[in-house]
Amino acid sequence: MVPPPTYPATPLRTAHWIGWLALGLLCLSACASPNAPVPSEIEKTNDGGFTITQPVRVGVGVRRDFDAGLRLLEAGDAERAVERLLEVTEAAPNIAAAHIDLGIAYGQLEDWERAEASLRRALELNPRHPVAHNELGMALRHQGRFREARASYDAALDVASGFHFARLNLAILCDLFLDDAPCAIEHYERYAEAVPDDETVVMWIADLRNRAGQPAAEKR
Amino acid sequence: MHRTRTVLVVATALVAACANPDKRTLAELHRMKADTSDIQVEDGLDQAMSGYRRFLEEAPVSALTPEAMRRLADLNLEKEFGILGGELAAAEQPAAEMAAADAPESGPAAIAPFGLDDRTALALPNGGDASGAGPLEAIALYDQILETYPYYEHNDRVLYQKARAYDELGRPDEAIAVAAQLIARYPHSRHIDEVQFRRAEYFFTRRRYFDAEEAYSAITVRGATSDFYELALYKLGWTLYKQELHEEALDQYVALLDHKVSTGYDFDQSEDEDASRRIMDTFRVVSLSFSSIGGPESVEAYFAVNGARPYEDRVYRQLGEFYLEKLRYQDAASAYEAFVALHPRHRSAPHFGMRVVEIYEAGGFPLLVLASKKTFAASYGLDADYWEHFPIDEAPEVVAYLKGNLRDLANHYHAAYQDPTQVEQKSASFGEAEHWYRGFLESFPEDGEAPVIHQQLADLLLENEDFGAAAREYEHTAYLYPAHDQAAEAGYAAIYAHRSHQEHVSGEEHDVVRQAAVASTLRFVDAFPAHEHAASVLGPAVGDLLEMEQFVPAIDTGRRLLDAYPEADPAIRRSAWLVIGHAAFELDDYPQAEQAYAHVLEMTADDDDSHQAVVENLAASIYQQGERAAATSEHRVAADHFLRIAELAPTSTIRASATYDAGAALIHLEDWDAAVEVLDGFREAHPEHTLHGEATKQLAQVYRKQGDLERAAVEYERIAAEADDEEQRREALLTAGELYEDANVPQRAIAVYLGYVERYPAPLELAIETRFKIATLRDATGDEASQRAQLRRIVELDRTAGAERTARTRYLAARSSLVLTEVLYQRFAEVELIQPFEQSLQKKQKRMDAALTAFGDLVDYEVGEVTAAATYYMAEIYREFSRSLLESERPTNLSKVDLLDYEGVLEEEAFPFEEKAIAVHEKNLELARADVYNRWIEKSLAELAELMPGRYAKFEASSGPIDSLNKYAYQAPAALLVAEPAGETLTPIDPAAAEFQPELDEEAAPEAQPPAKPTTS
Repeated sequence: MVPPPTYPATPLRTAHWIGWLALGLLCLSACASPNAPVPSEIEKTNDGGFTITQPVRVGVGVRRDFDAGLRLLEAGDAERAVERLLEVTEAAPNIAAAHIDLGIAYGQLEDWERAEASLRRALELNPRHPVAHNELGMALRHQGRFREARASYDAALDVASGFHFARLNLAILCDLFLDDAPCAIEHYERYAEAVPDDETVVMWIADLRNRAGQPAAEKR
Repeated sequence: MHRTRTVLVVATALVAACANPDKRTLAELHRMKADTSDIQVEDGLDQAMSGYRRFLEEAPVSALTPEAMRRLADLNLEKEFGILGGELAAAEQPAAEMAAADAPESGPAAIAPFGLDDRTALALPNGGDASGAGPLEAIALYDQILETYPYYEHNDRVLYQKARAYDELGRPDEAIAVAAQLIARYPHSRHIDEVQFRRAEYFFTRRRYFDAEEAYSAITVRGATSDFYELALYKLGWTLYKQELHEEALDQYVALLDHKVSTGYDFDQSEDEDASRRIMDTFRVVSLSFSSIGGPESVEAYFAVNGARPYEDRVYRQLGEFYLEKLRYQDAASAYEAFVALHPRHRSAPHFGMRVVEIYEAGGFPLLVLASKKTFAASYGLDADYWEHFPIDEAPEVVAYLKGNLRDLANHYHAAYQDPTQVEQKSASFGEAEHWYRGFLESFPEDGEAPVIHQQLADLLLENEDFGAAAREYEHTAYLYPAHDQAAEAGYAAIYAHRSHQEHVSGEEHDVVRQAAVASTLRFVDAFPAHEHAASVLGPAVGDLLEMEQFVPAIDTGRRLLDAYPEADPAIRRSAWLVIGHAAFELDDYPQAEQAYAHVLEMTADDDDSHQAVVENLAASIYQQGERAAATSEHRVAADHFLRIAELAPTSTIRASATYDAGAALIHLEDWDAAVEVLDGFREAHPEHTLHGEATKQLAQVYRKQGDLERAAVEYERIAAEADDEEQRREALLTAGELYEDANVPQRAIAVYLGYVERYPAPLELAIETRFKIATLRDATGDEASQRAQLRRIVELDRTAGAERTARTRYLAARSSLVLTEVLYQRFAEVELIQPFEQSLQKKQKRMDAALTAFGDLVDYEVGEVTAAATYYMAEIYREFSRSLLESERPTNLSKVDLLDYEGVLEEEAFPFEEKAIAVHEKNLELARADVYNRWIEKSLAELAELMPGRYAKFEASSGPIDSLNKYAYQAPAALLVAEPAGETLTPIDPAAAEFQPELDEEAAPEAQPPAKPTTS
């Protein structure tokens, strides 16, 4: 059975339609992506790693701003980094990575409220982004919202249990701010398994166990 | 009355023996003329007479002798009078000339006993003297026969001829005596009817009616077999009539008429003039008779007794006409009416009714004419029972009469209704007129006259102020008949009637009538668009539709008026535009309303009373367009509309508000410059307007939006100065201060805030808040003394606030106290422990105690942030003291050993203060766990990280920025260790590092990604 044509039948409308099609192609190649959310995918590996992809295409200008913002951030110039990254998020508002970096930049400026907002926007675009959850946990902790911070770290670890940054941060939260030694010990230990070379943490564990009256755990 | 006397000489050429008078009628004889031309016959008679004489002289007596004698005698008569024996000369006079009822002596002329009138000289046809010897010889001969031959078989004829001879000689008495002999001796003679009749006539003419009656009766008793039957009946009737035996006379006449009917005589179609006349005469004498015995009632009684007759109508008619001739109008009409009463369904009945009217008209009796017309109309209207028995189309004359009759009646009563001299009958006349008009219309709804009559009915109703009914009838006249000349005027009158009706009713009825008037008007204009008054009636209808809130029809009709009647009175056109404007406004069709009002305004003089109202309406129409646009966020359109008002309706009261709203719309558009221009203009043009203050606020907003905060602040100061509402002034002042702050004009801000706290010490909380702002600004401007003065004032106000103290005043006082107390920390910290040690130590301890006490007091405010700050400072006081001890100036006079001991003592002294510092900082961590978290806690944590790094120098780790827009890859550090191939030289792996693999694309060149630094070390 021959499927019906998917284009309008009249020549005039066909021409009109072709015109829009051409315009759309131009936009894809030269303009920022439209506002529609772009789906992300997360692919996990057996060794605790993961890969997040968001197949977005942006113009040269946007990418240039992103790169510049990144360089400024790494150079410690968070204030200017924020400016460039804001340009990116305005031009291409649906890219999670840009919002995460913007959140990190705000964090460096200790503007935790804006940091939280940017990270939450990133999580709207990709609710399973472990990096965004981890950074959000820190932003929340700096605002004294410890339980929310814990939930955010938990969310990161739900997605990627091997994500050692979130594991460490959760352990510190339990240790210093929640006064939850068992929690701290547990997550320090799991962190230590992921990062076996971090001897500092091993000492923290010993200190904690000592203060909690717990014997040293056998090394797993 | 006169009597015509006619002598008829009857001549015949027949011989006496062949004569047969039975075959002739009196009428025929009447027409015959004497034959006077045949002289040869006369010669022949002489010869015959000579022959008979010779026979008698010469022949012996025989059976033929009497015959010859008789013939000789007959020939004598024939020669003398030109008649043959047995021929009758008759004289008959028209009944009409005999029948004078008032002349009882009169009557029908008698037939001469044997053809001659006794009073008329006998003249022979040839001019000879009739009284010659011939007749006498004949008489002598007849006598001789009778004497000599008494048994002669034709002696009845001899006697007949003898009588005739006497008659011819002008000796009627002797003739009648001979006739009597004949009757007595030969009762069965074939001449007996004639002789009896002639004898009767003889008596009749001599007024010997009794004898005449006997003679006529002798004939009538024989019945119709007698040729003289009809005549005898006729004359017998007369005879009886002369004796005033009317009923007996009537019997004879009725018998005569019955006889005619029995012979098939057609009263209407007779070709026999004589018979027709005689019948007519009969009817007339019948009329005379009935008139004599009692008139119409007697007719009814007669036929009731004697049985009905098919010609009764003729009897009544004749009676009626008889009376009419006598000018007895009432009786004449009664005759007709009597018949109609008895026989209402008789074919002639309507004609009689018509005749009654004519009779009264002839008599000049208007009331009776009217009554009879009403009776007629009631009896023979086309819905009357009569017409169930007779087809209407077979009586066109009746129908025509009825029509005229109904019209006359209606018109009569209508005129009577209008007659000012008949006021008392006015109501009755109205009822009659309406009744008859309606009667006409019911009987002749499709007649050509119907529209006219209908309009007259409507006129009547209108005159009677029965407006509703009048309107209905006018509308019927105008629209429900085929086109006619009065239609348009009727349609117009219908509107007039509705409008008049409208003036006489109220309430719901008024609305109903008005609706009807409008409907009628529209109908009128539909039907007669070219009528000269079309526009003038349509105008009010348009207005009514508006008043009845039928807005769409009002607009449509108004437009129609304007389109169809461009030449209409300008006032009408103006009203139409006004209605369209109002209706469109009600329908929220503001553009149309504007257009309409603009037209109205063009047509309204500046000094017209309504001019300003129209301006207001025009402005309102435009304003509504602006409001509608604003509601749909079309602010540019809205602003344009609002601003148009100033141009098109500059005197409107709404102009000012519109200008203000234009400014508001421009603010929505963020067209700040235009908004400022408009609002500034508004304030200048309308300084007393209630929205003046609002305009100032809007201007302030605009300046604020423009980023011109200082001008905005100025506007708010203006509001604070001008606003009527104290609350507004207070808020405006605060806003002005904030704007000056934002505009970085701290001195103006301070001035405004100072003005505020001076004017508004209450509410206390807001005053303290403002003072706190002042203190902050003073701090920023480096005016520490003023700052501290404000802070102290705040603390004091809060302390003495009593019931007005709030959480906020407490918080601000705590913050103020903190700032004031921080100085004590500075003063403590700035004291260095120098030699002489004891002296500086005492100083520092003194300041430490003061500071600890002051910060300890801050905790009483129970403000988390301030408590945390106080805790932090107290911890830092201890730490500072510990550090000061350790860093204190050493005595210069100590040996190395002593110095070591000294420092050991210092450490021992300092350590407890450090322990105390740690313990106090940890108190802040406890605060954090109790959901109090602020920068002081973070600062305490930072201090703890330094004091106890193994316990507190624990910092969260970030995975670092993501360096690709498209992709992020994380690999666990443990996995990286496992995956490292032996023998390869790699960059040492940072355990906390993630490997990032940015996606490469054509724009983004790959860059080296440094591993994230571990944050825990």
